[in-house]
Amino acid sequence: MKIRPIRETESSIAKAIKNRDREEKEIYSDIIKGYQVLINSLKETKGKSNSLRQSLMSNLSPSLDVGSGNSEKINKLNEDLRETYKKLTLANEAVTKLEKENEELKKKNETFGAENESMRVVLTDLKEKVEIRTKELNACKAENELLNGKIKELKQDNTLYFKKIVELQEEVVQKMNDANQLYEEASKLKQDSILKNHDEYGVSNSVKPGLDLSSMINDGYFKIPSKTRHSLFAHSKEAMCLTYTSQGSNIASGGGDGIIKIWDVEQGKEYGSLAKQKKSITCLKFSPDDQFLASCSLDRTIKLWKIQTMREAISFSGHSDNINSCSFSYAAKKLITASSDRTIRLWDFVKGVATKTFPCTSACYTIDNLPAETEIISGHLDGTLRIWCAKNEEKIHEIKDLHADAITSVTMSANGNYILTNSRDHTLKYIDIRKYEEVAEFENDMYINGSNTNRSTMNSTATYGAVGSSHGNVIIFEIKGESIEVEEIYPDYHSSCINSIQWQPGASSFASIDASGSLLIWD
Amino acid sequence: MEEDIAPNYEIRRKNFQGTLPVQIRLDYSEIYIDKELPTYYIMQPRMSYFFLLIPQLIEFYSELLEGKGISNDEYWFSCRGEPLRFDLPIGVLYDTFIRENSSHDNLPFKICLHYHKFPTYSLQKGMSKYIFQQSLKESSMMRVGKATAVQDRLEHVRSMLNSIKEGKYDDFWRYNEEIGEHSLSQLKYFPVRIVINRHYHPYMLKEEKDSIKGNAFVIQRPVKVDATDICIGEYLAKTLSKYFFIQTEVIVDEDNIEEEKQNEVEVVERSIKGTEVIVNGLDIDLDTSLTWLIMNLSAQDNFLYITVRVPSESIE
Repeated sequence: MKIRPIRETESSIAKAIKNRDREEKEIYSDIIKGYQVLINSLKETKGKSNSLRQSLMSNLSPSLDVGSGNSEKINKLNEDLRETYKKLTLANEAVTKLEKENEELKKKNETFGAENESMRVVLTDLKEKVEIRTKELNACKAENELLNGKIKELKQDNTLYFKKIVELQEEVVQKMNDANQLYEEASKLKQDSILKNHDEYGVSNSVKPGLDLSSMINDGYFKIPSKTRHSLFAHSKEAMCLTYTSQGSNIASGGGDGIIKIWDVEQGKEYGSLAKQKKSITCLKFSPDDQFLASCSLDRTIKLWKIQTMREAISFSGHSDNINSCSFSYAAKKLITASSDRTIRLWDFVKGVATKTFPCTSACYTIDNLPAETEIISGHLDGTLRIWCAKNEEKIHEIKDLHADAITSVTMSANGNYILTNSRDHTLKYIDIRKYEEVAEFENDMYINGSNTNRSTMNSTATYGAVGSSHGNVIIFEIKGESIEVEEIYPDYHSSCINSIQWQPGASSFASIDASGSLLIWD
Repeated sequence: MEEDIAPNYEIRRKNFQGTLPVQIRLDYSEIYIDKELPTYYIMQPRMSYFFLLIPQLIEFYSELLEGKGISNDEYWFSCRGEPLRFDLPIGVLYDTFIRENSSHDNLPFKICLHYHKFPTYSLQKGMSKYIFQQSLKESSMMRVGKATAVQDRLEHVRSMLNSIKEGKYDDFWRYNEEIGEHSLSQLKYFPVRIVINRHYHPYMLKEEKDSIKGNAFVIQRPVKVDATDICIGEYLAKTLSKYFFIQTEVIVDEDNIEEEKQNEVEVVERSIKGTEVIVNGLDIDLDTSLTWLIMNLSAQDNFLYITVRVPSESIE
């Protein structure tokens, strides 16, 4: 490409610049410069006027100050006014609030007043009621006093009546005894003629009144029975009573089913059973010559059985309540029974009637006597022990409150000096009969006397004894002089309450029966 | 290269001192005032920027503008409704928008000052502080490949702006000597900016043209210097091939018919008749040396601004 030479361009451009400047610059520059000058002067004048104004303002300062001061004051006052207005509004608001609260409180007050009124009314009502009640109370109290007085009188009457009853009873008994005596005398005449012929009802005098048990001391080692030799299921219901023959070879047991069974001790087998009675047997006793067995039952009859024939010989009746215990009074040839009708009766098995009645003030649960002796010991419901003479047929002595509760069994020692009593207060007491003193007492946690006819027993030498607890524990204890101590306790053999234990006469074994009807022979 | 082209200081000086009369009014559509405010007239050098006027204008219109809390960044100028770019010198803006056919209605350069609704779609707010030094760096990069000459002398920028505003040639060139004075051998690229009086790229589709709002479109296309000088026409033909093309003519030298040397001469022709090429308000022939132009007629940021005015009725 061909480029124009520089000199040419320079010259042409120089010309062009000139033209341009002429058109654009020169025409206008003067005017605009003048304009700018005017503007500047205007600016200056503006500035001057401003400064003049300011100086004017400052010259006028005193009055302006005053004016400003005034204006300041005015402002202040305005502000104060505003503030006071504000305060006024606040105060107004507070006033309205308080008024509202006041109204609310008034309303509350009214409601409270109304409540108060209602409460007052209720209060007066209650007060009236209280008065009525107190009146009633007083009336009741007065009645109460009257009734108390009446009770006292009645009690006094009661005691009087009681005394009278006792007297009457005695009279009745006396009359019965008299009647008996008359009967006896009347029948004596008969007897003399019949006696020689009717030997079977008589008791052979040749037979010793029982073996002298005290002589039957085992020489040598006395072994405490430790295990059951035989465990027999005796009765379907509970086994109530138990007795050994005087030689200890047989046991008779009576139960709630009314059956009396006789067992062989050695073999542990049933020897025989007597006829079933309607009600349960409460007590059994062999006669000292083992010919007869006396049984008492809940039908208030006593039956005498002849063992050889296994048949009933005589039946006595006359008690008016349960017969709890029986015993043979050999010396007087009579049967003694103790009953809950508060009498002890002597029955003559020849005549077949009760010859003597001992009244006692309390139900008698147990009696014991030695066949050779004339003394009868009886234990009663009120815890007294009474001693009677069979011969004279009168009460010798009574030990009152021997036990805290009913005496359930009385056992005489073989020498007749000591008694072991068993009571519902779960204690056993060993009593000296001659002195009427308590020698020893036995108490044990394992021993609980559960029935009114729980029997305890001693061995023939009165050194050891056994008692059964209502838990089924068999407790064997040793009687040493002043104390009774536990020898052994066998808890697991019996499953229920033990009703009776009897020590085998002349041996170191015993038998026990319990409420489940089982008979255990120990060895 | 024919000869070492040296700058012509006369022309440079004369060029630098070219001024334009500017008339500034406020935009009355957006202000509410009972009296009419005076218009502001000032002679501004062609090699200056409009944003340098803003402080004076605020002071002049202080009744309206002062104390309203309008930041300097809110002000912008417009000419005939079009927002004016901050980064173009006043002379370039005038050439692009107004100067046509030397009509006398063109002067003074009537512009409007606004302080509402900054047209963020076409102008960048708050960048006027950095325009001058940015352009200096760009031109320096194009000229010598690095901008260190400017970077090391940033503190001179403000004084350069001052001298621009006042039209002080000597002060300006004292600073600019190290930055903007280069010979052809030193140049790597020609720092040229073409400004077209269209606000869209010439190759844009017609549908896109309507969607764009803007003002004078600037094409900045550096041309690599290969130690040979080129004329402005050739440059324009390369850059704006839509408007300029090279035509090869065969010139027959009548004197030397026997030699039958057919000199093929390449001439740059305008594709649209009436297309003007203006630099600093001067019509330039298309075969003028580009290097000479760069040395003498560069603007204050060392770019050569070539205004190409395409007639508006032409078919695009």
